[in-house]
Amino acid sequence: MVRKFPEVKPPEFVDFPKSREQKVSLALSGLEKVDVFDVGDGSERLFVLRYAGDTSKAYLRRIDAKTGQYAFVRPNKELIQKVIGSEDEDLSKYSSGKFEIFKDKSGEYRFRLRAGNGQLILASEGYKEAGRALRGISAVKRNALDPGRFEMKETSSGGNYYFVLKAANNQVVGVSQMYESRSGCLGGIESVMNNAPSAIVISQ
Amino acid sequence: MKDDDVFINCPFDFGYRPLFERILFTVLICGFRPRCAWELADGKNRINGILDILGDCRLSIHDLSKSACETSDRSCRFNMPFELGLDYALRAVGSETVWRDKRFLVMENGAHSLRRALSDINELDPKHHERNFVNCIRRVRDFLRADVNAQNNLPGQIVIERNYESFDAVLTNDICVSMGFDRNDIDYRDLVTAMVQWLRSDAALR
Repeated sequence: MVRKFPEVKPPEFVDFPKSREQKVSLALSGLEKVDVFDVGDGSERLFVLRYAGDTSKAYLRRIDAKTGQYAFVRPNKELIQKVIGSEDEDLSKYSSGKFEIFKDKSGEYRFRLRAGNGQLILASEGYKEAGRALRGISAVKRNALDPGRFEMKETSSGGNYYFVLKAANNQVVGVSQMYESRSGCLGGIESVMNNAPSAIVISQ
Repeated sequence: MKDDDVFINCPFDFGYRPLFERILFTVLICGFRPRCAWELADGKNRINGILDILGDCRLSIHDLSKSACETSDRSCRFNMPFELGLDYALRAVGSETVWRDKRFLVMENGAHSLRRALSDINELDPKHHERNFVNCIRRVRDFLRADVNAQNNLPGQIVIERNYESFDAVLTNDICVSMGFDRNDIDYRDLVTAMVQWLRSDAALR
C-alpha cells in the first residue's frame, strides 16, 4: 500500500506570480523518483533521477570534511556503474538536455531542445506569450515518451529528412533540424526521447 | 488564529540555512503551514509584522541554538529570544482568548545549554538538537506529531531527511539552473514554492 504524506499546505503569498510556480513545476515534470546511494566512506552521495520513459541522470554530492560545505558534480560513468551495480544500465542515457526559451527578432517566444552534448535536436514555432511556450515544452516532455507521436518526413526536393513531434490533438509541437539520412533522423528521434523528459528549462 | 500555521523563529543567515530549510521542509511535509519573519516585505514595521504573524500561529518553533551566549564568539543573537518573549506574552496575557492554546517548541544546541543565559526558559522544556540535521528534524516532527491537528501518516525523520536531500539535489542542479536562482541566496517565496511543488510531485518519497 502506498503511504501518502499529509496534504501540503503552502503559505498564502499575496501577488506571487503563477508563472514562477509553473516553471518550477515544469522543472519537476516527468521526474518519477530519486534513488540515493551512499558512496565510499559516506562523504559522497549519488543521486540518480529517474524520469518517465526510462531516462535518468545523476549528480554526485561531495562534502568537504573540514567546512561541511558540499557541492554537486556530474559523476563519471564508471562510478555510476559501480555504485548501481548493474552492467545493463544504459549509461548513454545519463546526459541531460536543456530547453532554451528565447525571444526571436519578431518578438515571439520560441524554445529549442539541445541534447547533453549541445546539439540542437528540436525547435518550436513562435508563441505570442512566454506562458504558451512553457506549455509547449510541457507538451514536448509529455509526448516525447510516445514513439507514435513522431513523424519522419522527407523534404520536397528529396535527399534530406526531418521529423516533427505532434501532441495528442495532432498539433505540431516541435520540428527537428535536417538530416542527410534516414538513420540520422531516427537517431535524432531517439535523442529527443532520451533528452526531453529530463531536460531542464532555461530562459535566455 | 489559524490552527495549522507554524511560526518558525530562527536565524536566516547562511551558516544556519541547512537547518532552517530542513525545519521548513519538515513543517510542510507534515501538513502544516510554515510562517516566518522572512515573509515580511522590506520596509514594513518589522516588530508589528512579527506580532501579526505570531497572532496567526497556534504553533511556534523557536530555535535558540544560536542565541544563548554558549560560545565565546560573536555569533550570539538576541532576535530569537525576543520573538519567543513576544510569543509567550501573547499566550500569557494577549487579548485573544484563543492565544491561550498556543504551543511552543523551544530548541537549544546542547542539553541545558540555555540554562545559564536564560534560566527562566526551563519551564518551556527546551529540546536540544546539537545542530544535527536528523535530530533537528526529529524534534520538529515529534512536536507536530503530538499536536491535535496532526494526521496519523506523518513520515519519520529518516524519510524526511532523505526526501529533503533528494529535493536539495534537484533544487540545486535543476530548478535553480532553470529559474536562474542563486542556490545560496534563494528568495524565501521561491524556496517555499519549490518545496511545495516537490512535495506535490511524483518524485517525493512516499
